[in-house]
Parts: sequence; C-alpha cells; structure tokens
Amino acid sequence: MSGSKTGERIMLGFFVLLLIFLASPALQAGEISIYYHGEDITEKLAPEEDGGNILVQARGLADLLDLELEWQEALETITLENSDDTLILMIGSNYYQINSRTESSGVPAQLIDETGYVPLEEVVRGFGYLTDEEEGEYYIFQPDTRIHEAYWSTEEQQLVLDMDKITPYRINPTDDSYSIEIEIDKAALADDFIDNISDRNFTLRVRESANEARLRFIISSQNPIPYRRDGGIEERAGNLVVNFLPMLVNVSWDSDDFLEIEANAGMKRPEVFLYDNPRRMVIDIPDLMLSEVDLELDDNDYVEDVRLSQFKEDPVVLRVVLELKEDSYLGIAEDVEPHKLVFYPTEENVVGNLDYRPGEISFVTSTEAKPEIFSLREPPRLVINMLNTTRDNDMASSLEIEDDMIKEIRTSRFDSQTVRLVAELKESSGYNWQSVEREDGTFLHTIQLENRLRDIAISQQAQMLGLRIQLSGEAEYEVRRFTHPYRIAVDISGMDLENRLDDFELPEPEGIIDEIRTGIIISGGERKFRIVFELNDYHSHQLLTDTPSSEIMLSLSTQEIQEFENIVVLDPGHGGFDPGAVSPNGLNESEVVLDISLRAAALLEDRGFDVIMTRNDDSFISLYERAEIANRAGAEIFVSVHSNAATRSAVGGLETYYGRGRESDSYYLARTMQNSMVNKLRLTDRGVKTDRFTVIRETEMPAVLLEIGFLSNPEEERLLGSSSFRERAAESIAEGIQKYRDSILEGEDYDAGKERIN
Amino acid sequence: MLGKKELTRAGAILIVLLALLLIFLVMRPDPEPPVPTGEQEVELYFATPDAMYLQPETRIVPGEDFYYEVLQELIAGPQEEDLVRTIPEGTEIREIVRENETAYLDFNHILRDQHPGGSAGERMTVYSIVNTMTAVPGIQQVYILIEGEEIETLAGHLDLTLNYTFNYDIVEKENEEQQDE
Repeated sequence: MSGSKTGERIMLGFFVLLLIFLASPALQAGEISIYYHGEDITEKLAPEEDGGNILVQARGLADLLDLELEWQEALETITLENSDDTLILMIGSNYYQINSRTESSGVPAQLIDETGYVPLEEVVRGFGYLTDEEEGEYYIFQPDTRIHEAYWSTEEQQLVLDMDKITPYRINPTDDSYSIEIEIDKAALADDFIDNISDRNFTLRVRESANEARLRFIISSQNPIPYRRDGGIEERAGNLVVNFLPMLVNVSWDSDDFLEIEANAGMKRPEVFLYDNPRRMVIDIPDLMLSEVDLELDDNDYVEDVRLSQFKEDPVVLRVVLELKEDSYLGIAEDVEPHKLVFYPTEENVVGNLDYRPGEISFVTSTEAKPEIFSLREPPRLVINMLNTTRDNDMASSLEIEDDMIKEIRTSRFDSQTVRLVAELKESSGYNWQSVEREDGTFLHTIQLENRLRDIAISQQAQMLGLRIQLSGEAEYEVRRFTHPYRIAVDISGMDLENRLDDFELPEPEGIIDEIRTGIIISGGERKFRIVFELNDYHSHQLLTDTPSSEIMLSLSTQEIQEFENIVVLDPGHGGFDPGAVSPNGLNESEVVLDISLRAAALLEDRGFDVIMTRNDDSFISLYERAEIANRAGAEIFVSVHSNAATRSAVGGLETYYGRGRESDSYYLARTMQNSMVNKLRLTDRGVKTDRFTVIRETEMPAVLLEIGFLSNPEEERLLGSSSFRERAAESIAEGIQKYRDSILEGEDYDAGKERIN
Repeated sequence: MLGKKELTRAGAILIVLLALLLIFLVMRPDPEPPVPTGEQEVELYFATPDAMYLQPETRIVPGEDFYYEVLQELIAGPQEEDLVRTIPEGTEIREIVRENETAYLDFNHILRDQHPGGSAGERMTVYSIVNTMTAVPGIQQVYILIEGEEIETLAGHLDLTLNYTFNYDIVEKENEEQQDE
C-alpha cells in the first residue's frame, strides 16, 4: 500500500505488535465489533474503547479505507489521505485537521504499545463514510449517493429528493396512514442538506442507518398522507420523485349562492348520494386527500353544516357530508375548473319516459338537470345518476334489449333522492349526452353510446382481397373511393373519437394494400372516424354489408373481372341412398331440394343463365364430386340447396353458409342469398354462417349452401311439401343469384370527393 | 507419443457421442401427456334448444377410463332441461385411440344412420363431440370415425376427412352475472 520506506517499517512494527495484542487478552476490547459494508473487520482494526469512544489501529483503518498513511516521528502526527481529503491527527491532541478545517475529536489519537491509534468515528466520517452504533456493534459503510435537498414541487403534489444519483429505494408500508417512510440504500445526507418539506402540514425526520447501509425519510402529518399508494414513486432526472394526491384546500359558500369545494389540483368526478334523517348529501371524491381547512360556511339557505373525512385510504376517497336544510336541493354544476366542484341550489326533479333505440338511451326530466354518467369497464356498464330526482310512476323499471351494444337497462331508486339507470353493455363504451328542452317545458335527454373499432382483417383469395372491419356496435358508414393514389376510405359515424385506437393495432398492409391509416374527418358538419386503405392497384370493389351495421366488409378485385359468362352450378343436396333429413311424415330432403333446384334452374335459364345441375335425379354423388363438377365447368357461382333438421320440432328458419375463411369471395353471395330468401319466404332468419362444409370449401368460385326450412318442424314440413312454397323458394334463389351477378358486374363506384384527414 | 494421439482421438469421439446423446435427449418429442385419472370434473357441450349454439354442462366422471367416460356421458345426453342431446340414442363407442394429442373417436354406425340430418343438426353433433373432447386434458384435435373407417361426412355437409379443434364461435357466450346495486 505505502511505497515509502518509513511506511514499510511502520507496517512491520504494527504487524509485530498486532501479534502481541492478539496474544494478550487483557488488552482486547472484548465487547466491540466493527462491520464494514456488513463484513466483520474487528480483528483487522483491533479496537480499543476509551470513555465511550472507539480507537482503532491507524494502519488497519488505512488499509481498509484505501488511504495513504504517514507517520512523522518528529511531530508525532499521523497523516491519512486519499485523492479527495487529507486528515492529520496529532498524538495526544483532541484537535485534528481535515483538509483546511480544524475539528475536535472525543478522544485524541494515541500510541498504544508503540502502535498508532486513531478515533474511528472522526476518521471514518471525515472520509465521507457513514457510521452507526448499536449495542457495541459499530457499522461503517460508504454511501453511493448523497441527498442534498427534499422539497415540494407542483403545489405539494410531488416530493422531490435531490440526490447525486439514484440508488435502490422503496416506500416502506407504515401501519398508520399519517406517515410514510421512503427508504434509500447506500445513501447519506449531504453536509448541506436542506429540508424544504416540513411545513404546516408535514414534518420530515431523517434516520441514517449505517447498520443497514441505508437512509430513511419519514414524513408525517396531522392528516393521512396523500401518497399515491399505487406506484407513487418514480425517478426523474436523477432525482427521486414521490407523487402525492391532490389535496383539499377550501370549502366555502360563495356569495353568489353556491357551494365550492377546491383542491390544489384537478379532481376526479365525485359520487354523490342523498340521504334522509337528517337530510344530507354525501360527496365521495376519489383520489383526494384531506387537509386542515376552515369549515365555517357563510350563512345560506341550503347547507346547515359541512363535515369532512378521509373515507377510504386505499384507494383514497375524501368524503364531504353536507347537512342540507329543509327543502333544499343541490345539483352539481358542469363546466367548472377541474380543481373545483360547485354545487348550486336546484329543484326536485321527476324522470320518466325511459326509451331505447339502437345505440341510444333516452329519458325525460321535469326540470333541467345534468345527469352524472359513469362509464365502467368491468363489468362494461354505463351508470346514470340523477340527483334530487324521483321516478315517474309509469316509468319502466327495466328494459330488456339484447342488441350489439347493450343487454338491458335497469332503473332503481338509488338513495332517497337519486334515481339510477344502469345500462349493462356488451363492452365498455364512451357516450355522448345531450339534453333539449321540449315544448311542454320538460327536458329530453339522449345518451348515445359511442362505437369502437374492434378488428380490421385482411384476407386474400384468388383474384380478391377481402377487408373486414368489426365495430363494437352498429354504425352508419360510407365507403368512398379516391384516385391519385388509389385509396378506399371508410367513414364511420358515431365512433368514440377520443379513444378510437386505444388497445388497437392496425394490421400490416398486404397484397394491393400499401398502407392503412386512420383519422378524423369532418363531413356534413359531423366528425367521423375514417379508415383509409391506400392501394397500389385498383380494379373494382364491392361493399358486402349494409349500413348501419357492426361489420363492414369490402371485397377488392385484384384483377380485371373478365366477361361474366353466367355459369351457375346448382347443387341439390343428398340423393340416392342418402335421403338427407327426413320429416316425421316421411318427406325426404333429397326430394324437396331436387324439386326446388330444378325449378330454380328453369327460372335462371329464363334469365339467361347457363345452369349446371350436380344431379338431375335421385342419385348419389359424393361431396368432392359435386365440387369437382363446378370446378371443371368453370362456374362463376355455386349454390348448394338443402333443407335443415334439428332435434326440437319448434326450431325453424333459414340459414346460408359460406366456406370458413372465404369472406372475401363468398360472404357477399351468402349475404345476398340469405336476404333474398328471408324477404321472399318470411321464415325465421337464422343468419349467415360459416363452416367447413365440403361443397363450399372445395369449390373454386364464390360458393354458398342454403338451408331452406326445417323438415323437423311440422309447419315448415308442410310448406316444403307444397308446390307454391317450392316455387317461391326457387324464385328467391334465382333472384338472389341475379342480384349478386348484377352488382358484381356493375360494381360500386364513388366519385372522388374532397378528402380531409387529420 | 502415438498412444497419446490415439487417446486424444478417443476422447474427441467420446465427446461427440456425449453431445449426440444430449441432443437426442433434448430433441426427443415430448411424451404424450398422461390420461387423467381419478375423479375429474369435465364440461360436456350440448345443444341449445334452437340448435344454434353449444353450452357446457359440468359433470364428474370417475376417471378409471377417462376419455371413454367423458364421451359416454356426452352420448347419455344433458341433465339440464334447457339443453338438448346431440348424439342419437344407441350410439356406441367402438374405440378411442390417442396419438400425439390427436384423438381418433370411433363410433358404431348408429351415429350416422340415426342422425336426423340437416346442417344445424350435423354441426351440433360434430362440434359437441369435438368441443367436449378437446376441452379435456391431453387432446388437441379430433377425428371422427364410423365402424373403424374414415368418413367423408356425417350428414352430408361437414368434411369429416379433416381433423377438428375446439370451435369457439359455436359456444354460446354466457351472460355475465348481473349484479344489482
């Protein structure tokens, strides 16, 4: 360590003496143990106690702390130094010099049996180490960081610890909510540490613990500490920042006759309850902390008294209780500054005429009132509270709805003065509230649920590219085509524009799609959500869905559609040894569907179609053969005709299937055929479905399978047995095919309109 | 000197062999997951009355011949009144073979011959078997066989030469429990 000759000699001397010390138990300090960064180094330092102070061997300490040691015989001084600090001690003197300062120690440096001893505390601290003593155990550690200041930033909402660098830290749980403890490892207070935390509300105590090599900041208050318990500590610019919640700063009755609650930062929307005996309004404000505020309200006709409490601490809720005077009603004012809540005198209200139209809830109140509306995520639900309100006697207590967006709406008398409407949603939704005064002086409220984007999918088939946009609920939309560059824009009304892309990732562009982007456009005074598909090639496109709908499907041709040759394959299901479904009275599906198909073929031929039948009689053809017939013929449309069956005789209706994954080339045909059947045959619409049926899977052209009625249903069995129904079924098939063919050939084209996107 | 060279070579060969053994051990396909034994709670998928969806019904099987018991319970039909059986009475299981988490379920001819037909009915039958059997541990996909043979279809629509995995679309979404304020 020391290169000098003197140093070597001294070291040798120390070493010899050390052996003597070890051999002589009388001289041992017995009770004292010294730890350096947790390691027991008592032996190395051979400590001696002198009047409560600890002396240690200068050499051992110098080795440990990596210091240069010099012994000047003539002056009897010990010099210890490193690159930053120099400390000089004189044997027998309580004064020592650190750099240019002179300090005094509890005990002087001494020579014990020719060995230099120095006071531990002074030397160790002088070189910037932290020490801690506990029942004869002495701890030394070197802090990695120093804390210079603790202060509040942004209106007492953030506590900042200004430190050299961040070391491991944590907030220790405390039993009471009136204090918090911030623990920082390997940290020490700087000599010039400033406490700018302690004030009227808070007191800061700092505990250094060399034992555990850490520092603790304990902040306590008269009130629960507004620490944001869910992850309220963070690092910023090398400093530690502890986030606190907003705090109440004022409750007052304004001379303009309203009650104002003020915080030092924006507040969340409170929940408000009204109770009787005594009449009182309870206002629960989330994430707001209590503080000392003056509760003497100016004289007024509405509020008798105010009480405050920290109602909950995890999560934090501040409760304000207003004792109301007789016949006084208070409502929450809207459009006030975010850090204020204003309650103004109002009248008693009556609500009625609860109604629902797709995506829109409406009701009527007797006076002007702004309902409180909460949109919950789990469970997805819209809660509408109307204060100072009673239910009209004839108001429905619940509405069963069950559509794309909503399951049901319930009403309840939530508390003595609040009516609550709860709309159970299919998924959480934003909303738009509007209120208009009607001619009779009452107010009509409408709450429109906002729609969300659920999925955008691209599927590629031969010559076609399918786009499928799924929304959380039904929406009006428009598809527009633009050129230079080619692009298709889908403009959707009534979307949640604020959170439109929350948790949503646009798919990767593929095929003729170069880019997908979204934005908001203003069209006809309405802000709409626009999805743009930029294309590198365009031939024609087909909108496969109606508006309004919760599903928007488009099919884009990736090649020029050649002349349509009008080749249609009709495929009567079953036949031969396979009768298909058999009705209770013995009517066979194979026979019914053959007759319907033959009738449809005749109608189609009249319309100029070239019809190929997979079977003309009661013969068996395998499923793969049927598909093969259509593929070989180069058919443009394949329609398989079936009748259904189920275990329960009450089941009935119409279904159309398309092949799984064949949205882009077959869904539109399926939709068209199902619509045509439903309109013409007036049976239950069981919808368009998709599955892995062989004939609609193996065919290479747009293909569908129709299920016309249930042979297991007595009423539908009767219909399927009748010529008139079979003829109508055949007509619905021919008309559907015609409509599909026409729209494919004509395509849909939109004039390029003005596009504004942001 | 020569002896040392040979020794080195022998050592190298040994190392290569050990490495190969290690690779073999690591690359070896996972053994088939075990067949559950002992009492098991299983979900059997039955048809809703409108033959549109499937809904699970919970049943406990003793777990002595697990897959057989599950399928047998499915054949026996639902206990809940508002669910409908999906497999014709008289259907018997001939054999269940499992290989690489694929189950080959072999039924007697009754499954096909007594089937009421129709796309709706066929889908209920096939997916009630598929969903029930792929919802239990150890089976990912299912082939349906009749009298030991692969079949083109059960009732003239679904392609049963393919294997089937759990069908989520056909399972009726349960309404969440409605809690009241």
